[in-house]
Amino acid sequence: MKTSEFEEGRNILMGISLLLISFLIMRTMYLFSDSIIPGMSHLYNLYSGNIAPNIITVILFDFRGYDTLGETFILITAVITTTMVFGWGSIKEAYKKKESLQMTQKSTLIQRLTAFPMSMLLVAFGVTIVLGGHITPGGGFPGGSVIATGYFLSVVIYGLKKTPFRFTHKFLVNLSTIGALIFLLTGVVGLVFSAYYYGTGYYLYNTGVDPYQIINIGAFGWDNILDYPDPTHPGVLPYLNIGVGFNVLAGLSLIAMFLMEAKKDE
Amino acid sequence: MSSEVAALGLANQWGPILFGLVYGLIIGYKFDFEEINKAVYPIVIICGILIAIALGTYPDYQWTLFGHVIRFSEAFFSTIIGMFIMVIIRRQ
Repeated sequence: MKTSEFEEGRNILMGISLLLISFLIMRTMYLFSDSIIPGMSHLYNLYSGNIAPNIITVILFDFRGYDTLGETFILITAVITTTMVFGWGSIKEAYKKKESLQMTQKSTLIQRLTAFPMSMLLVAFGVTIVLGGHITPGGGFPGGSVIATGYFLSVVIYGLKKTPFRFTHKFLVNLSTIGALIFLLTGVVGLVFSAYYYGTGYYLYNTGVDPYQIINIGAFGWDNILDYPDPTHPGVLPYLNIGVGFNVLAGLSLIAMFLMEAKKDE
Repeated sequence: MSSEVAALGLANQWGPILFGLVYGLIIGYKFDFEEINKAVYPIVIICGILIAIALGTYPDYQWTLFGHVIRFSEAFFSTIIGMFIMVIIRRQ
């Protein structure tokens, strides 16, 4: 196919903008290397115990919050890719006519009787892992995976049509988006409040713990904004865990649902 | 531990209780079924209490009950309660 002049001009524009952005990113990173203080991570390791007992979660969400934000969006990308590859089964007519799955017919009475209570307990266990992420080993990623395992157990035993978890595509997509938005908006809250009280805004600043002692909101009767009410007071970490938990549970459930529908289509 | 810890815990621990309840309500909102035998519900509640006691690990998360220190995972049990609330609402 012959490329038109318009497409050639667009390619040149894209090349120039790519060069410009690469130059700016490289320059910013070079300048940023002056700001790195040697031994900072060692100091942070000493300090991080004051934020929450589980230092890994503190490093994951506080010290390396951007990295975790990127991982959250990697999951969304994986879900989109799986949907594009395996999602065709859900829109074909054959899926709507056929009721039962071969795997469902094999499930016995004991399996059908115990699968749903087990799924409930698995969901509750996953929520425990999500909400205890700042205290005990765990967090949003493993907790969301456990909840999705509970959903997958019930789907395997009862089948997609008769499963007690009536998750729809729209519900799961909304849940995943809400989880990612919780993460992003928590970062914006940190940015806004640190900019208002300190002059320089820091994205994902932990306003609940306030490590730099810059936010003073005594007037409202709270210690800090986004303070998590439990004995450890870890600030925004549980909120980020809750957001990531929603995102992971919805994403993995969506993948499981699409794979089941693709299998049914064959 | 003294009852001060229990009082402190009761005053400060509504974070896991509240957010566990929210999780349970959101997921339980999608429960819809007719085939499950109702006899499994008390078993789920009893298992939930036992697992919640087994999961309570952090020393600050403990209640004093009848002179005994009980470490209890509020998040686990409030999630179960949230799901049951939604099941009851659905059944009506």
